[in-house]
Amino acid sequence: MAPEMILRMIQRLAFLVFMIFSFCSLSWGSFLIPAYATEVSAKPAEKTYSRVRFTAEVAGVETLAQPVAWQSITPPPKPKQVWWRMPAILFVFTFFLGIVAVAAGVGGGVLFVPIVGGFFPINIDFVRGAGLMVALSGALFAGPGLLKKHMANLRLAIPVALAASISSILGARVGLVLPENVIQIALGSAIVGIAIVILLARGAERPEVKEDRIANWLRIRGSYTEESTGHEVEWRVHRVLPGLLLFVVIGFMAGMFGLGAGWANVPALNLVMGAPLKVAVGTSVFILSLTDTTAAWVYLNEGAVLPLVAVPSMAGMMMGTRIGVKLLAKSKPVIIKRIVIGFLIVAGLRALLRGFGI
Amino acid sequence: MKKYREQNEIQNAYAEGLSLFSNIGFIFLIGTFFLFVSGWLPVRIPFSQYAHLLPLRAGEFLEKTGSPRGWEWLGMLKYGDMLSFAGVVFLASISFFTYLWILTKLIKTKDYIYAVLVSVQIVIFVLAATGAVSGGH
Repeated sequence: MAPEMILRMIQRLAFLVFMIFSFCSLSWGSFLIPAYATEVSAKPAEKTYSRVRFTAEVAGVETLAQPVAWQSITPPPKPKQVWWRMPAILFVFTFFLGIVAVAAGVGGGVLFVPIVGGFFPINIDFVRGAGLMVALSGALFAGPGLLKKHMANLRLAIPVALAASISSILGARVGLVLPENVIQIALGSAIVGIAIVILLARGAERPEVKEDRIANWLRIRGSYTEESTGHEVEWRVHRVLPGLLLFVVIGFMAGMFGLGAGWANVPALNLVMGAPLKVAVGTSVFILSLTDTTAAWVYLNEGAVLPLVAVPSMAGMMMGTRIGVKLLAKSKPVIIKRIVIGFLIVAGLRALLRGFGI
Repeated sequence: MKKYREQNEIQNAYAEGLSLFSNIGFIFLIGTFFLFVSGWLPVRIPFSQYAHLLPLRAGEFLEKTGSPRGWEWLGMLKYGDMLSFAGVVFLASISFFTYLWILTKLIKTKDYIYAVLVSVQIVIFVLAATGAVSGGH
C-alpha cells in the first residue's frame, strides 16, 4: 500500500473518531464514561435484593420489597474502580483532536475546552486549566522551528504578548471566581463568536503597510524566505496601538476560558497590524507560549490543573499535532475545517443552554 | 538578510533555549507522570477518588482533599501526584527561563527598549507564579 494512502486512511480515521466523540458529547454528554469511570458489579446486589424481597413477600412485609429496604439491609456494592479509563480516553481523544485541529487550521485549545468540557465528567475549571496547558505545550514545541525559519518574530511578539499576558491574569482570576452557569454562558457565546470569526476571517497574504511611529520606534520589522519562490520578503507593521489594545482583550479571553487564542491572534496581527499572513500565523503560535504561561500560573496556583487530566491531554495533543502537520500537506482541509466550525457552533450552543439551565 | 542579523541572532538564541527547555520539560513531564500512575510512589489522593472529585469546582476540590495551594506542593514531592504536578509546573516555567536567557543578550546588544519590555514580562511571570496576583496564598 502506498504511504500516501496510509496517511489518508489515518486522517480519515482521526476525523471519524473526532466526529463520533463530538457527536456523542453533543448528544448524550458523558455516556461513554458511565458513572465517572466506575463500574459497579451489579449481580451480587441483585441476588441479595431478590432474596430479601422473596423473604419479605413471604413474610407479608410490603416495605421490605422496596429498594430502600434493600439498601438498609445489604451494604451498597463496592464499586470496581477503573480510574485509568478517563486519562486513557483523554489521551486517545486529544491525539485525534490534534490531527483534526491541524487539518482544520484551528488551535487545539479552542476545540479542547468546549468538547472535553461537554464530553467528560470533569468540572469546567479543570478543563480550562488543562486547555491552557494543552495550548501552552503545543506552542512551546512549535516555537523553536517557527522562530528559526523566521515565520515567528520575536520583536513583534514581545510587546503584544506583554499586553495579552497582563490581561490574561485578570481573565483567569475572573474565570475562576464567576459562578459556573455564568462561565458556561460566556464560554458558549465566545465559542459561537470564535467559530464565526474563523469562518469569515480572510487573511491578506501581504497587506499594504505604512509603518507608524510606534512600530518604527520599536523596530518591529523583519524578513522571511518565501519557500515557493525562494525570494526574501521584507515586512513592516502599522497600527501598533490598536493592535496592543486588541491583545488586551484577547489575553483576557484566553485567561478566562483557557482557550488559547490563535483564532484571534492571527486576524489581529494580519488584518489590524499588517503583518504578512505567514508571519502572523507563526508569531501567533509563539505568542500563545507567553500569554498562556501567565494564565496557566493562575490556574496552577488555584489548584485547577490536575496532572491526571492535563498530562494525558498535553501528550495526546502534542503527538496528534505532529502527525497532523505531516498529513496536512497531503490533504484538502476545507471540508474538515467547515465541519469542525459546525461542531464549534453546536458545542457553543450547548454550553449556552447549560448555562441557562436548559 | 544582513540588516536583520542582530535581530536574528537574538531570535535564534531564544529558539535554541526554547528548544532545549521544552525537550527537558517534556521528558520530565512524562517521567514524573509515569512515576505517578505506575504506583511506585504513594499518592495524596487515591485514584478511586478522582471519579467523585473531578466534577467539583477547583475551590471545592482543594477544600475536600486538603490539597496544597500556591507552592506548598514543594514540601510534598514524595507523593506521586505532587511530583507529576512539578512536571507541569516546569513546563509552565519555560518561558520565564527563556526570557531570562535573552534579557542578557538584549542588554549586551544595548537594545534597552526591548530589555525593559522583557524585564516587565519577567516581573509579570514572577507575580503570576508566586500567586501575588493570582491569589495563590
